[in-house]
Amino acid sequence: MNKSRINLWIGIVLISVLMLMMVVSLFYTPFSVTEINRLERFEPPSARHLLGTDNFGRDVLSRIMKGSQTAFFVGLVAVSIGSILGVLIGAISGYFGGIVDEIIMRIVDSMMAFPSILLALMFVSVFGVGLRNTIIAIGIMSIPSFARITRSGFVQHKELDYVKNAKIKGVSNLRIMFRHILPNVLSPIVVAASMGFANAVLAEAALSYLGLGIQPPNPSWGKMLSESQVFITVGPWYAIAPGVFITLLVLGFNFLGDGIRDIREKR
Amino acid sequence: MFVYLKKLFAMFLTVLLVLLITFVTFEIIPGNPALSRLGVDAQESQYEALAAELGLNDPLEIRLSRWLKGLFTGDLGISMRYSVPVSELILDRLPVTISLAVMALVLIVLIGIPLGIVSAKYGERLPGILITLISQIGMAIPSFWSGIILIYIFGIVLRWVSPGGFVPWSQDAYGAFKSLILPAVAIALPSIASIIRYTRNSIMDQMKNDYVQLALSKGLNLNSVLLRHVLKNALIPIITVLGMIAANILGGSIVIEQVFTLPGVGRLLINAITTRDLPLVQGMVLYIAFIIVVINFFIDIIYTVIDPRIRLVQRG
Repeated sequence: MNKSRINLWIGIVLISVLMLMMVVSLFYTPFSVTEINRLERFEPPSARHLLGTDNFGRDVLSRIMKGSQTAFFVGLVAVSIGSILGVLIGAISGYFGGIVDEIIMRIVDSMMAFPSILLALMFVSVFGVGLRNTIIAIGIMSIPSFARITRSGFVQHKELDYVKNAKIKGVSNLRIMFRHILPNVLSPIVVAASMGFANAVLAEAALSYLGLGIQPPNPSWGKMLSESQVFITVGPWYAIAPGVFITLLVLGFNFLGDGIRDIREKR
Repeated sequence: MFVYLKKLFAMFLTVLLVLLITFVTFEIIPGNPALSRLGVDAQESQYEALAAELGLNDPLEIRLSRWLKGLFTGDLGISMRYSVPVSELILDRLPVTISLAVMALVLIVLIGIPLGIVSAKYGERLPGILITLISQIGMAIPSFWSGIILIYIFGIVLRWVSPGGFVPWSQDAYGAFKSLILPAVAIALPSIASIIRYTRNSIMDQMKNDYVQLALSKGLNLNSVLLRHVLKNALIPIITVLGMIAANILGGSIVIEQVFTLPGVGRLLINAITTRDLPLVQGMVLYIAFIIVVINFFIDIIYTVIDPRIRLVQRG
């Protein structure tokens, strides 16, 4: 196997396995996610409960599977919001330049002054907690990085001959921006989207851990961690499982992003 | 000199925009601070009086200019819940967060950079690949989870520290250190991982230069070339990463203080959000963002001083 592809493959394998688990959980989980079973509280991992049970006797694996739906959903929608708005802002800024560029980039820079979790917390405190607001907060939080990357691509490409040619031929600005330039600067944006997905998963977990993200009964890995922390002496496995899955998913998207970048640099 | 003035101006502009973003965000809030302070069954006259006192009926630009004037005199507003100036509350909690940040930064520099050097030295051979892999995993682990695991290992299984809580430095310095070391490690881990990667990449870029080949062909061994020639040049770009690291540390401590129940700025912020003490949230968001802007400004200056090439490029 090609050595430069190893990052890509690790990423693809990790994400595929977790995605498969997510898809299966849409139709089937080994046990009910919500049903309380007082007789089976804090059972350590066994053949019956692969990852043990929690303080209500619920199967941890089943809850992890359901939680993966939230993780993928939040990641996908948040990255879509962040990338669409970020690419739009970055494209306008880079293509038109001048005072527009100056103003937009100043605002983007100022947004970057907020640690991303702080930005998300600020929006959640203003608009309230819950699934929708968590997604919006994380989406907004990722706009600056997309805007910057897109802008730098546009700044490079707008001076190239093919763009000048199109301009002379009278092709509209909008068409040049999104039909001519965008496809050429897409690969760094894809890398950013992959990394952004990883960051979104981490941010959702952190917000939910703090009690300011996904609210019960919606399952979330971050929420599971905050519930499990209280019971860590009686059921350490309960606190370990969600963290492992968050790490694996984040790892998968980081590897995927690195892998795509490796291929681009090879070319 | 001109370069520094320009940077200073840019910093003020950024600060101003940070202020505007914060102000606008908190303007959108549904509901009304006077109403939420009095509760729903307040009388109309009571509400009118408080709204007038807080100046809620004034037009937007008046409120904005009053708020800005307050900020320049160090007045961040008054907390609803505690009825105490926000700045006082923050200053009260600052020692814990600063201690945490400094300890985390020391860990990041002392562990991250040497590991990065080692990893670059071995390049594509096994130790290099191994360190890269570990740092990849380190970046993926959520810091609050590593915090929980650290509490479990060192607090519950090994019983080296009692998890949670904080002893002030003035009371018991060793106790304070013990209560802060685990959270500092948890905050530092992701940044250690990313600084390993930056150091490694930066050194490996430098190794491609002719001066390295010259030094090696003159018979110097790899270690001394690395430490005496390459490192000096490779560390310069790493300084720019420190701004990101500072943001990571502050962001990390917001979450980690919650994990370890430390009475710091982060915990105050989360409490303020859950109790919807919005003036306090606003003041704190601003304060933290301001710190980051100032840190980035100084990093920028240091960078320009260390590497004269940057000054030249910017002039041209």
